Amino acid sequence: MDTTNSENTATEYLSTLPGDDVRQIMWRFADRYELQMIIQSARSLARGVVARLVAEGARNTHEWTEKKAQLLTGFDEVGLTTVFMDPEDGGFLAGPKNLALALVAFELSWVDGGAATCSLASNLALSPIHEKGTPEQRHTYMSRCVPPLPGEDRKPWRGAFALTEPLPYVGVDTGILSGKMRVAEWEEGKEPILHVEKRGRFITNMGFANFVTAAVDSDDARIKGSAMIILEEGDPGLFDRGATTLKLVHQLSSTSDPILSLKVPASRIIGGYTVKDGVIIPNINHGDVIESVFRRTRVPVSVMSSAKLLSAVEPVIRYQRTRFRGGAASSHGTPRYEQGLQQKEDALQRLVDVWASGEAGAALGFAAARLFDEFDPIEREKERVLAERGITGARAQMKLFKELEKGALEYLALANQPEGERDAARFQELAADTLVQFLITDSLANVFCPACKLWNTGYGATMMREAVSLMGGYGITEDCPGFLGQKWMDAQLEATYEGPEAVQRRQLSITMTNELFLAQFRQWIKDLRGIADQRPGTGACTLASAMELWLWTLGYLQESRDADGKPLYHSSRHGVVFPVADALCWLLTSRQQILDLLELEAKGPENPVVASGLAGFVNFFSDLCHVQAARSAGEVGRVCAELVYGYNRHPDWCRDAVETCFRGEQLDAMDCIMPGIAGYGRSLGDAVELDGTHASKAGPCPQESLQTFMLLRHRLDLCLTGARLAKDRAATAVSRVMIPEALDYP
Amino acid sequence: MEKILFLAHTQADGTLPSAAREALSAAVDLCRGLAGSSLAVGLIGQEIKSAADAIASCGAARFLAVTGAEFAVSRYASDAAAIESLVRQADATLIVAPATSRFSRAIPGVVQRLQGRIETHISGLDVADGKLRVQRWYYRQRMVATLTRSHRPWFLVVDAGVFSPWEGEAGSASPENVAAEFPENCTRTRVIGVQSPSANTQTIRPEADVLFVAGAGWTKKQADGELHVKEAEELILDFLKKNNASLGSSKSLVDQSVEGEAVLPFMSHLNQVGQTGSTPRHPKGLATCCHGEEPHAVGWRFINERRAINLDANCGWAQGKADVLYVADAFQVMKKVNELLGQ
Amino acid sequence: MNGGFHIVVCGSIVPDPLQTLAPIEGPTGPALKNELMLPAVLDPWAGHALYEAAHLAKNAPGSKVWLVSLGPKAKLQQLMMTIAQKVSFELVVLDGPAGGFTDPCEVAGALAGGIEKIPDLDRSRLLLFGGCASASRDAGVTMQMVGERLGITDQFLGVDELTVSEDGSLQVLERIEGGQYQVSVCTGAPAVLAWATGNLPEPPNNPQIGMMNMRTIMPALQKAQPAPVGAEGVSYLGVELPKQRRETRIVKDLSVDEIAREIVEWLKG
Repeated sequence: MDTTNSENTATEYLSTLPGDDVRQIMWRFADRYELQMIIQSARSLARGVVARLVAEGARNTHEWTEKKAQLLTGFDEVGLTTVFMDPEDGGFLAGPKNLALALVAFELSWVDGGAATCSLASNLALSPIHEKGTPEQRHTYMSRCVPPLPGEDRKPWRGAFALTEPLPYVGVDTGILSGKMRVAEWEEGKEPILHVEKRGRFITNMGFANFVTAAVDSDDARIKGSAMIILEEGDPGLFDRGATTLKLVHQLSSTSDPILSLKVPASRIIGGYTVKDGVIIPNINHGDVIESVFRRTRVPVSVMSSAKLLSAVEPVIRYQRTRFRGGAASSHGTPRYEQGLQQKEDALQRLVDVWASGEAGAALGFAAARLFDEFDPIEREKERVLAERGITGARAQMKLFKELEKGALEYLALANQPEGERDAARFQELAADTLVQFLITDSLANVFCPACKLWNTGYGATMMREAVSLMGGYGITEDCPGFLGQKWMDAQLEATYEGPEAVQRRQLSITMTNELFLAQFRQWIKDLRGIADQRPGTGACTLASAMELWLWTLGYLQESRDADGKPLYHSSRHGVVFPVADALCWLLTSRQQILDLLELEAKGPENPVVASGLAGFVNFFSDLCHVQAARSAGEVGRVCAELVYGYNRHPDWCRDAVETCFRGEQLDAMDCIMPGIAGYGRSLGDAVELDGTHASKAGPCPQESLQTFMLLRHRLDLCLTGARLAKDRAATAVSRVMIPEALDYP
Repeated sequence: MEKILFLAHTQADGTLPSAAREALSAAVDLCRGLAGSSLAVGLIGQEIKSAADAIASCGAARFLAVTGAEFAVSRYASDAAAIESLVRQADATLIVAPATSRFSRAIPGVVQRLQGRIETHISGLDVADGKLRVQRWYYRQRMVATLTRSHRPWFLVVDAGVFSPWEGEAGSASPENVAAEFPENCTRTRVIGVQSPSANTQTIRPEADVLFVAGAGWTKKQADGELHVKEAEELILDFLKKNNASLGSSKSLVDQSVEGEAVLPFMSHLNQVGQTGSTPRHPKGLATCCHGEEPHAVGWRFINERRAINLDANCGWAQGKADVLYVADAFQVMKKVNELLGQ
Repeated sequence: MNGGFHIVVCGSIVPDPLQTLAPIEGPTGPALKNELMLPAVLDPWAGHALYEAAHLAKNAPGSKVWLVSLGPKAKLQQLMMTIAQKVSFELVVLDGPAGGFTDPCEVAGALAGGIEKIPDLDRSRLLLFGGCASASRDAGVTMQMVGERLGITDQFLGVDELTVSEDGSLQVLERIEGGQYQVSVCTGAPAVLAWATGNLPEPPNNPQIGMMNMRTIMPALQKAQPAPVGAEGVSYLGVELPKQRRETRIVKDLSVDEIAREIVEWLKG
């Protein structure tokens, strides 16, 4: 018998791949059994029906097929359809459901992203009704979408969400709609009948949807503004599902370009309407509806890409280890046979990178989901308070919030003071102020949501390619274990739908400069130094240095102008603001990864199962955090340096030589007084000789004028100390970890 | 010094099952190995004389028997009563019995009554330093343990196929009839009979030389993009018939029937081989359209020569689990094999 | 049926069959490497017993199902996140080891003790269900021993089908040699049925059932009784993975005819 076990080895390595017990702690649902059960449900479907569909080639058609429709009955059977519903609408999960939906998306996309999209799209269709619908609308459509109970004879309804339109808009600018509504009939004292024309593009679930929630604009003086409206399959007119989209990815979701021309009662306007002076005024315009919807539904998409990265770990390890087995060149017991490709440092370290990216993305995605779970009740309470105070309209609301911002900043400052030293009464007062709490949470939600959507899917796609490459040629075959090739392709759509990367960057470029967010960000830097003090191997210090550099750079860019005198930080100057947004995402993911590690370390001992392998997990995840923090620091350093220096004009031999260069003849003259200066001076700086000759390069080197930036950047580079040692350790752990005999899906 | 009792029951025709003769070999060997031990035989059945005579020369000092119509059938209450009486009468310390379905059901309860201990699925017995050592598998043939106990009585239920059947001269035994304490409620259970599969669907043949295992690949789409379940059915049944082979299956194939996918009608969970199925013993095994992953391959622990046909050269069989892996289309190969077997 | 059955199902966890299993020498004898960390599933045959029990309870009004599980509490809790979603039952937790190297006599003692303590259990209506063997120890003896301890002398092993007649009698199909079934009829409860696979598919997960079950399951986990079973008197002299490893010859370049010929020669040889 082997006497080495994780329980009794001195240097603890990762014993097994992290299981449910570990994830429940890291992602903070160890005490939420309903979520744990939903995960098991989603997993059974994903690794059963979904995996078989993929393995049997169901993805090889664009059309929605009977076989693919197994997914829908699967969702119904295992309770996933009702996860979205509130108990009063036939669901079983009370309260906010952001984390629940993110976990479902995670489990489904562990096997196939399209299946996750199919599930999420049904929720997306209902979301406008759920978030902004009238009570009647909510009840009607939620109860129709609930799967039939035993003994009930009805088919559950499915929905599609139609925002994106054909060219020229294609959804990039969702503020402009070509979908229109007009008054078709309006008899005195009766409900107006509207004629709705909507052409959709890339509309998910359209192959089988019974209803569509469509964004439309008024094309009639008797209707004011835009709205989202519910269109049903049986409404009079044309309900053409349209041509199937020939997409190369997510083929387990149905996508087409519908043509809808229908007459519907005005009561289908989501959120209802009022009539004033003979004009129908939708209570909520389409922009408000989609803002409310997307800030939530983008979060589950972000964890989909991260799930795929994490799902790649096991198949890649197995492939690497068994790579040379079965051939003549390696026999049982030899390192080549036992370790296969894992004898090579590169194979291991690249897998460490993939794993670390998956962890970081999942950490931020789930943090965002939890944040929205906190945010939902605060937001509802805010709406109640505002209504109570009679504050309506965006302008009045903004004015009030501007006034409240001071209180929110004060609250944050008090929260960071030691409990005994702060003004407890004032702190309590602000803590109980719904609007203050709303502003603070909102400032985070406005950053976390676009950040996780942007980074997890965009960088996730890049790292998924890396995972595919680790499987060699096998990676790009249909039967690659873990379907890695499909997952890579799919990631591209995840980065695109529900707001492409540019939309997320744009949102971040505005929200990340919110002073409330920045106040919290500053505190995080201090917190990370404190974490680093206690847990130096986590990369927390590296990250704190990178955050300082980012913060300084943001401030610099906001105040500075380019060589032509134009302001650097401007919402339309994407070359500046977008990279800053990108850099922020790296920092946020890395930070959240470290926080998850600390949670595991703190709560792990309470669970005997986790406790038995805890040291190995903590060691390994610490190293992964360090690896990722170093990677983030590198990205931030690069972006910041490029932006800080990149908008200065490079010195020119003709124009700038006088100011920035030594004169060769002067150096020669000084050589009499200071022997050696002629040579030393030329080596130290740029020099121009009497005949105008100079070193062969672009121009004199720019002079360092930003001492603070230079110091911060230099310190950041030094903070990378030890990061590669962490990577070596993580790689060793990957080479030793015990994995199952086979993957648990086809 | 052990008092060894070999336990057996007769079959409907009054003879001993071959598993019993194998267990007798084990008991006889044990008696030889454990110095100073004695061997007794305990038989159960409606009538046991001919069975006792058949093993009369096995070296047993005593032949004990519980007989009568009540003991003709395989039933927990009556069998447990009979076994208990025999063990008490023999005052046995080691009880060796074959792992028939009848004994597998009844013996454990007797162990409880007699405050004994039990080892089942024994795959090896030996004596070292005067101590009896038992070999058995754990975690469904994933690992093998060797163990010993001091506690007595110790029941040893031996798997079929481990020992060679006892062979010896028949003679005339003088069985002592033992009265089994027949509990009042013993006949609450009535045995109605045996349900056998029809000749066409009788696919499990424990005595066959060859185990033919079909995997889920038989019911999947083939190279032409179509299902060929009917053809699969014909090829498999034809092979079983021509080769008198026993049919095994992977879990994924038998699970398909409950999941509503295309299935082979003659296949049931009884055919399932592996971690959650059976672990049959056959000299040869041929796996087709099955990946040979560990949970299935553990069911092959006692198949001596193993060959597999699979389209995937990297499947589990290639990882040291089969002697030969043919990377080929099983439909084509089995068609040709059947042709050759028919010549 | 008069008031339905009281069905007690014995069943616990085993490592997920796809996991790598390696024996190690633990502080109290053999154990599995990383045993606690290995993902676990409900012992398959016990699982079939549970599904059959739930099915039977549904069709026999007034019936009730208990699941009596001996295993590490934290692992059982994790298992419940799946099992509790499938069928309705009440849980009785015996907090102890679930590994294969414990002695079935001790396990049976703990299970019987746990069953005896179930309040309101009507022993005259008791059907004791479990798997015909565990996938860990694979002894196939525990259910019979528990039955004996509870004084039940109508026992069936390797059951694939149970039919309850209107008079409450039980017709049972048990697996016997050669792919055959023995058909027996028992006058009624109490009885022990150690199940093979039965005929029912694994029920799909339904979080709504799970949420209902968890109302009683969480308190049951908190009330877990310690059950420190072991293997007293057993000396394990060694536990090892099978050494036999075949040098697989991978034949890639033969024609179908050649392969068929080779196979036939081997079969006849």
